[in-house]
Amino acid sequence: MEVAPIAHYHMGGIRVDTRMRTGVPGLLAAGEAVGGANGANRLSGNAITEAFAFGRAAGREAAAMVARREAPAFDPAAATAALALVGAIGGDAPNPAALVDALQRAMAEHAGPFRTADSLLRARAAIAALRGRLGAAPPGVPGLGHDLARLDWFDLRQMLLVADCVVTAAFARQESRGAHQREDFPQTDPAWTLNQALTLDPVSGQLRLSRQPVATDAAAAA
Amino acid sequence: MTGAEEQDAMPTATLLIRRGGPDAPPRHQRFELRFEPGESILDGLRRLRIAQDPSLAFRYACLNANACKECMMLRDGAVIYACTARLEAREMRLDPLPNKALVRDLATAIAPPDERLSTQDT
Repeated sequence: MEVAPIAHYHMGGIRVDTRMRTGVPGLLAAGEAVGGANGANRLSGNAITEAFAFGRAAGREAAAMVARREAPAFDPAAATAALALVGAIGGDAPNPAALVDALQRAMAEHAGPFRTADSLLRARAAIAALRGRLGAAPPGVPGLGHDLARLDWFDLRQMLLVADCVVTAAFARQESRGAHQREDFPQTDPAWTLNQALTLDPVSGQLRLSRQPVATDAAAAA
Repeated sequence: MTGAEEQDAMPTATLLIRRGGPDAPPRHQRFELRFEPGESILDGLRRLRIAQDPSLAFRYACLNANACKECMMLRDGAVIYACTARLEAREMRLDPLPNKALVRDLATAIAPPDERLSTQDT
């Protein structure tokens, strides 16, 4: 019997407050989409618990928003670029399913639980190359039912952003902790007892990395 | 034995797949895959999209976890889950579920009509 490791959970995710609110007004998040609940490593079986516990909090907040008649302001201008992309016709990206496969292989090989600065640089190069091959518009036309090639193109666009986040944060963290094992920095470094947050700059399209403290028992007692 | 001869000797899985939408006359397209023991039919279909034809439409969500039931289809006329049925070194004919509205290829409209967000794309 062939046995192989697979990625089945993602510990990074959207930053929310204790009411599950994101940085986007009116948008709540819960479960695996959210980062931080599991620390440096998730215990098997905790994903459902997490989804239930934080899903309840998000549901309560959603109900409270409705009770307060709190309608998030929708700015059609902010959606222009995304709507244009959804309606775009006939990009000439090569087989998007093959590009998704190439990204998955590159991340499994270079950015798995065991990584080094060199391997993460190889992952970064693969991401850049795939971004170049993705092109500016999805293949096909809008409106065709279950158009997997077109869906793959949109998926890949987001997967490349997530992969970039993973590699950027892993490259910066020069220590080993939980599911992040840097073979070039095998020890856990107390100075790295902190969270990294990534922000996408809407103008430049660049990721900005920042650090924030972890609420430890000592900090809570102080 | 040279590498090329080894490749020639490798067994092949042949998939005869129903293509097209509800308005086109039924036709089947033949795809050949290198046979790998242990792979599911879903594995084979995903390899076809990567290596041969990304436009091939079929449903899947949980990827071989036997949880979502999205990959239900007909193999040689019998209902299977493509993720639990094994790829075999022979010709197998794949068709969409006959009792559901056809979207395209092997994909059918599986959600109940009153649970769909839109009638256009299901």
